[in-house]
Amino acid sequence: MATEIKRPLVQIDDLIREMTDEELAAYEAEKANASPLSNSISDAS
Amino acid sequence: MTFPVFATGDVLNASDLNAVSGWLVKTQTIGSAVSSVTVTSCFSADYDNYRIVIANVAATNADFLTFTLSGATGTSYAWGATFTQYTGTTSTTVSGGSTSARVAVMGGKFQAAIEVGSPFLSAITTFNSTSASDGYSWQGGGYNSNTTSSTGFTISPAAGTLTGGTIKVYGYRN
Repeated sequence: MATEIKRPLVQIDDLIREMTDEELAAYEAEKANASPLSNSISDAS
Repeated sequence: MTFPVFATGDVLNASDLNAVSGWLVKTQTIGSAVSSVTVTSCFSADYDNYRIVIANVAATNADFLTFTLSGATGTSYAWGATFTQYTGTTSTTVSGGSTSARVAVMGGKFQAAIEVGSPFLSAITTFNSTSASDGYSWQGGGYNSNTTSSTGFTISPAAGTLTGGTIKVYGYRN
């Protein structure tokens, strides 16, 4: 049995659905380029 | 009758109602474990400036909340902020510019308020933000240089998901 891939959920007003291929690519690209909060704290110390 | 105190049965004069500073434009309940929430059709020609109130939201991660306008997309955002961790002794200054802006630091539960200037007008959109969570407080601001009109916006946690709470959009009377 194939394993179902669970994608992140997006909400548009009251509609909630899994991300499309394009949305997932953009989401992962932005996450890859973003500095996490922990880095921001350590950078300032 | 004199505003702001009204009595039952008072006539609602146009001059009084036109002096009301703001009106609720849209209410959106946040679902369960969502990675982003898009609120559509909340900016219009009815108002130039808005206040977005995000409250009682549970976040899986203590991280930043990002904000994107619906129409004015592109690498056109610049933002800066200072936030304080309650257990720390100093504040941290962060800034950036990309395809979105950061408008809050989330925690287990958080609230945020974003004042948005001219999102529907064909002009740059400015915004300032405050937030409080169970771990951090935040004050920030920024702008989007893309002058394309927007009718809505998206919020998204930089990491993790959001569950519950509400987003309310108020329009300030022009």
